[in-house]
Amino acid sequence: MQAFWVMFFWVPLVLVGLAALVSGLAGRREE
Amino acid sequence: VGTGATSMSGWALGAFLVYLCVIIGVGLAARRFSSRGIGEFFLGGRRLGTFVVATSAVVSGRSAWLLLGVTGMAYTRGASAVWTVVGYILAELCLFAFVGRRLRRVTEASDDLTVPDFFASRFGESSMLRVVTSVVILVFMVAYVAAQIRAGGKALAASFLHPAGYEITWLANLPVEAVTLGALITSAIILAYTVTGGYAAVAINDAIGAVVIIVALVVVPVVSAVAHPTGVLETLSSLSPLMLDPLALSVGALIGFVSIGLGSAGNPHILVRYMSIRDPSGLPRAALWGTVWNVVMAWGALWIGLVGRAHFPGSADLPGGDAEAIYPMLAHAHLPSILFGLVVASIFAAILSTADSQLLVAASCVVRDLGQQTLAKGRELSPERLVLWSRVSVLALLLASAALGLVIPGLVFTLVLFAWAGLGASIGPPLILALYWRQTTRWGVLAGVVSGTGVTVVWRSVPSLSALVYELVPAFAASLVLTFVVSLVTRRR
Repeated sequence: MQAFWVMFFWVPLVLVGLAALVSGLAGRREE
Repeated sequence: VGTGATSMSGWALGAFLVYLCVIIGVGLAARRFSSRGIGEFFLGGRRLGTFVVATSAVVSGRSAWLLLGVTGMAYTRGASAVWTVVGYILAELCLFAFVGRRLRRVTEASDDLTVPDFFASRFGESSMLRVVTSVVILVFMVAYVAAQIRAGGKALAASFLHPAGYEITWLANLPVEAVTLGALITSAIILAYTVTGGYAAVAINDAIGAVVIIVALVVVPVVSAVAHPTGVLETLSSLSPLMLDPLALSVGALIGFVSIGLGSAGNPHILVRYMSIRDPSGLPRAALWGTVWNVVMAWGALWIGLVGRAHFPGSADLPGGDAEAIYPMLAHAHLPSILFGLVVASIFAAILSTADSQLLVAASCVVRDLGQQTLAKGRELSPERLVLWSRVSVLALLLASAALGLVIPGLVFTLVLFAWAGLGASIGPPLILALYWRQTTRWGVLAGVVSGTGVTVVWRSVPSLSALVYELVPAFAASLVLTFVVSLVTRRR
């Protein structure tokens, strides 16, 4: 059940967090 | 189900028709821009905003495969279907943030409209490379569009033409087979705005579709989970504990599922999205928008499959035992009719957003690469004539795809994954190396395109190989290795 919540709660959250981080870093490099 | 829905099906059809009127209106409104030249018709004059590019890129990449295929897979396999979405979300994040920006800058500098255009300006004009790349793109794209049209026919037939009782009777009574009629209606809708409005209409309609899709993919699982009399997870666990185990799959399946993401970099209908943004510095922001959209859509689809299994535990509960029908079935059982219309619109939006983008890419290969730059090379052609050729090409390719779509047997998504693999493997590795590795040569790219295509076709057609792992994995590896090795051998010293 733990693995289920990792894949169905934490992974989507981490992916969005990662996107925010990458987007921020790539945007800063752009400037 | 039938009786209650029959009285409300007019609302569902009404909601669906409103959506259709909007997208056809966008096509007509974009007509005056799209007629200016093929730069406008195929790339929207590189003037599109960040949000439109972000959402258009992710929904063009997903298609009905997400709404019908992934939901069906989650219904059948349970939690282990989650691996089908992880790979492409990560891959597309990188494409938005890094590869897309470079591609946008390079292609604007040399005024490239297509992937073969980019190869020509990167390595010098070569008719052979241009023709081979264009033909590979064309063949896989027509197959891909055919699958989408077939899916559109199935979706329309199941939603409005199904004889179970919630159909619009006068349509169901027409003397043509329901799926065929649905496929013809799908083709006519695509044609209505793609031929008139070109790329700008297609991208804006993708963005409108992206909003419809995300709303539907959130509303359906939430409402259905609330409507379930007991806990959804408890019900699934009582069916089989494996339903809630994300690791209940073989290593080959795990690798195959995650590697779906390798395809994103080689599918030209996704790549041209990055090329069409007005300001390339908006692509990092598009990375965030695109990923949020991808994540919500993906987990929405997965939850639909899981909640659907709790509601309809046996495949005999589904029409024809078809797991790919779980999304409209679940929506039909729990949503008021007007929202069911929104669900049908979302399936359509997914199908249209992919098929329209692919038709334009295929037509751009015919007009720009095989026509203007090969057969009519050196001839002065007016922008009006090129746009006319483009519109005729879209029409011809749509007819070819529709004809193929009507004769495809069996499941639609096998063909989608095959075309996705073919494009991903043949275009992806050569394109990335051409962008990032100076030593890449024209011969290396040609070797990559040919080997990516060849390995995809051979691997797919040998049952013992295709049972081992998804064809994209070996084909991508072969294309990457051959592009690299042949470039090393043929580079100028």
